[in-house]
Amino acid sequence: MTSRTSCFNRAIFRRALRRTAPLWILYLVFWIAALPVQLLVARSGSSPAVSAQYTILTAAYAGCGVVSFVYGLATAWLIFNWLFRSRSAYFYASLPVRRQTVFTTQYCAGLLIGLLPNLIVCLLTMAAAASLGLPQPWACLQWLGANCLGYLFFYSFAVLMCMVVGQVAAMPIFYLVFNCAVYVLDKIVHALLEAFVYGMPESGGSVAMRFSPLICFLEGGVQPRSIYVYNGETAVYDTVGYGFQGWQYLLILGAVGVLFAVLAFFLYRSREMELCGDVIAVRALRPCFLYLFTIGCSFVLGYFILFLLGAQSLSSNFPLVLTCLLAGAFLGYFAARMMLQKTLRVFSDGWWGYFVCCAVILIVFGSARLDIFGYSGRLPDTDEIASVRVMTYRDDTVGSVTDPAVIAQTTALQKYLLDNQPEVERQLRHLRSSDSYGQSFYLEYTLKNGKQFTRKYTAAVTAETQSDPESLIGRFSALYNAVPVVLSRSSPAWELSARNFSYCSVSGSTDADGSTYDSVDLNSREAYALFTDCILPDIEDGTLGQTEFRTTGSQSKSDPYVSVSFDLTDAFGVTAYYSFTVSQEASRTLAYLDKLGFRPFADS
Amino acid sequence: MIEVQNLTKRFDDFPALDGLSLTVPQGSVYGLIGPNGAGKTTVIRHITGIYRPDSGNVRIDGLPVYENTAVKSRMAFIPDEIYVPGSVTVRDMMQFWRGVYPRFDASRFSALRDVFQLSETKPFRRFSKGMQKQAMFWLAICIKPDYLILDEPIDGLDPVMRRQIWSILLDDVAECGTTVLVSSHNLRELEDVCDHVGVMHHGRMLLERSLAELQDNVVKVQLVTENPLPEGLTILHSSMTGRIQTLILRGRQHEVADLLAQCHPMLCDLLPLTLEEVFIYELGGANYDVKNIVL
Repeated sequence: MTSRTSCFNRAIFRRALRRTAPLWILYLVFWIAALPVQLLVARSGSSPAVSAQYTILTAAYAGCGVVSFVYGLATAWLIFNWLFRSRSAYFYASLPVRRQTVFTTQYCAGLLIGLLPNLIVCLLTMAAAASLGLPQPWACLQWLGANCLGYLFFYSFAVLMCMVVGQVAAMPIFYLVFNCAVYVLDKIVHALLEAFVYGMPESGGSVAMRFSPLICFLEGGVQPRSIYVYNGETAVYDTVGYGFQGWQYLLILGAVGVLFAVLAFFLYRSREMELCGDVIAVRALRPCFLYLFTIGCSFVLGYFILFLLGAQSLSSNFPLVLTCLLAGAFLGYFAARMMLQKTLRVFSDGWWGYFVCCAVILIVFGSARLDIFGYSGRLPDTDEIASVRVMTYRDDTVGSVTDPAVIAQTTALQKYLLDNQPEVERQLRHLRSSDSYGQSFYLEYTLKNGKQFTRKYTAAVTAETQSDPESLIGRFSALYNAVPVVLSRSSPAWELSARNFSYCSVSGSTDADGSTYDSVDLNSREAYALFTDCILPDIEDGTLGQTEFRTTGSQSKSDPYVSVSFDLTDAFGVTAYYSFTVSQEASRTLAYLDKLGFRPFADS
Repeated sequence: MIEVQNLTKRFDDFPALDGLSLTVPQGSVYGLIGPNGAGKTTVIRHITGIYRPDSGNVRIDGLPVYENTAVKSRMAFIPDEIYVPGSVTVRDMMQFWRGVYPRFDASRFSALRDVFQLSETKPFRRFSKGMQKQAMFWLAICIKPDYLILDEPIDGLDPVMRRQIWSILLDDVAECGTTVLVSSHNLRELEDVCDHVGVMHHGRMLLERSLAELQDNVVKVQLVTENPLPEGLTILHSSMTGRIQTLILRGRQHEVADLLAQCHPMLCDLLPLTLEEVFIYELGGANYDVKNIVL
C-alpha cells in the first residue's frame, strides 16, 4: 500500500478545535465585550469618531501585546501539551499519520483559532461603529492586523517552546523567561560592567528591548499615537485622530513568528519521543541549555545575592562581585544538571563544566576590570570629533554641539577623568555625608567617520568640591553651562515655527512672596513668541537654563519658582518636551511673564 | 511478518535493547515474555514506530515501520497504559480513529456493541481501567488490523472479559490471518493463546521458539526403577519422593521412552509439561531471573 503524502488530517484538526473550544470562545467573548459592545455602550465625548478610533487602537495595542502573549501561550499549550506526557506522545506517534501532518494540522488549527475570532471581532466592530454613524474601517483593520501579527509571533514562539521543552510546567516558564531574557540580562550585565569598566554607561535598553517582545509591548514600543492638526483660527493643535505606530516592529515579529514555526516543524520531525517529560526535549540543545542557564544564573542570581548582601559600591568590591557571580554560576550549573538528569545526585561528576563557566566569567570580568581592550582609556582627538552631546541623563532630545571650544572642553574633561581615575573613585567611595551625592553625566562623541561612543562618569558633589572650579564637578559644571551646551538641551535641532508648539504652560508664583500661584496655557503663536523672542535670547545671554550642582541638589539659580514648559511636535510626529525655571536675570522672559501676570521678582 | 534485527536502544547510559532480534511469523500469536525491565515495552514501541532505533532494523513485511504510515495503518496498538484524552467518549474516539485509520470499519463497531456493552457517550476517563482496555480492544478490532500489538493487554480485565476478548482476537487471527504480538511478564497468561514465544532478558532475546517445539523438546517423567539410568539422557532436573523419581529430561517423548526402557522401570509415566515448567527448566540454570516470568 502506498501512502498519500498529506499535510492535513481532518480528524486531528477537528479534535484540536474541540479541545480548545472553551479557550477560543472565551477569547471571542472577551473581544466582543471589549470592542463592539464597548463602542455601543460608551459613546461619549465631543468628537465621538476620534473617541471610537482611540478605543479601537488602544485595544489593538493591548491585543497585539499582552493579550496575544497570554492567548498564544494558552493556545499552543492546549494544542501541543500531549507532547509533555509520554502516554499521549506515544499515542500520537503510533498513529498512521506522518509527523509533518500532525504538526501542520495542529499548528494551523492553533493559527485559525487565533485569527478567525479576530476577523469576527473586526467585522462586528466595523458594524457597531457603522451603526453609530462613526465608521472606522481603517482603525478596525489596523486592530486586526496588529492582533494577528502579535498572535502569529507569540503563538509560534510558544509552539517552538513546546518543541524544545518537554516538561509541562517548564514550558510556560521558558516562554516567559525567553520573552524577557535579553532585556533583563542586558540590564544586569551592563550594571555589573558599569561597576568595573571606568566610563561605561548603563544599557540604553532599546535594542535589547526589541529582542524581548513582551517588555517592548509593556514599555509602549507599539502603541497608538495622536494625530494633531494645527488650527489656524485658534492657533492650537486639535487631535483629529489616532495612528498606530510600531508596524515595522510588528511585521518583523510576524516574520520571526513564521521562522519560529518552520523551526518548530523541523524540531518536531526529529524529536525523540522518549524525551518527553524531560526539561529539554531536543538532545542537541541540552549542552546549550546547561551553559546558557549557568551563565544566565551567574548574572541574575549573582546580582540578586549582591542585592541581598547589601553591597553598595560594586566597583570597590570586585572580589565580592566575582564571588557572587561564581556562586550564581554554581547554583545555575547544578540546577540545570538536576533538571536535565532528573536527579539530585549531580555533584559526583561534571565539575569540569562548572570550571569552564567560571573561567569564562573570570576572563570576561577580569579583562573588563583590567581594561584589556582599551575601552576605558579611549580618548578621541578633537580633530576626529564631529560633535558632542553632554547630558546628565540619557535624553534623545538633547542636540549635538559642534562648537570647537565645547569639543575641546569635553575632551579636556575626559582627559582629566582618565588622568585622575583613582582620585575620582576615591572621592566617590567616601561619599558618606547625607548632604553629598554623586552626579552622573554622559559625554557622547560623534566622530567624523560616523561612529558614536558614550562614556558615563560620576562626580562627587560635596561641600568642598561644589565651589572648587578645579574639581571634577566644577569642570563639568563649566562645560554643562556653556551656552552651546545649554542651547543643545533647550531647543530641538529642527527649525521651529508656531505650528511646532503643541502645548505650552506657564505656572508658578504670581508675586514675590510666593503666596499666590497660577497656571496659564499659551496658544501656539504665543508659545512660539515666548520661546524664540525671550527664552532663547536669555539662554544665549547666559541668564537662563544654567544649572548648579550643589549639595542640596541640582537646582536653578532662580527663586521663587516659576516654570515654563513646552511640548513641541515636528512634521513627523516626533515630540520633545522642554521646561525652564525662570531665573531672576532672564529679563526678556520675565518681561513677557509680567504681561501674563507673573511677577515673581517684582520687589527685587 | 515482523522482523527485528540487531535492534539497539540506549536511554542516556542505560542500554534498554542490546542487539535484539526477533521474528514474528505471519498469522501467529507471538508471546513476548520477560521480567520487568527486560525491554519488552521498548521493543514494542519500536515495532509500533514510536521510537527510532539507535541501530538495527524494524520491518513489517519487509518495510521499515518508523514514519511509514502505510505500515502503521495496518497495525493496531494497545499500550499498557492507555491514553485517555480529555473528556472524550468512546464515540468520539471512534470518530477520531475513523478519520485516522483508513481501514476502520464502522459497521463492525456497531456489530460489536453488544459484545462490549460499554456506554458510547460516557467520558472515557470515567471508565474503570478494565473498561478502558475493553474500549480500546473494541476500537482496535474495528481497524481490521493485519498486525495487532498488545503490551500487557489484559491487566485489569476480569476473567470473563479476558476470555471473551481473547476469543474475539483468536477468531480474527483465524479468519483474517491477523498477526498478534503480545507482551507479558506473566507466562500463564499467554500459555493458552500463543503459538510462538520469545523470552527477553536485559534487552536481549534469550530464547525464541514455537510453543510446540518447546514443549516437544522437554519431557517430565515419573520413574520407579532399581537399575541405574541409562547413559545418553540429558537430565535438566531430578527429584525423589519415596521410590518415585521425577525427572525433567531434554528430548522428544519417544526418544526418551526408548532410552528409559533400557533400565526396565517398574513405573514410567511420561507427563506433559506446562509452559511455565519448560521455562523454569530451560532457563532456570542459566542464572536468569526466571521466577519473575513464571510467578
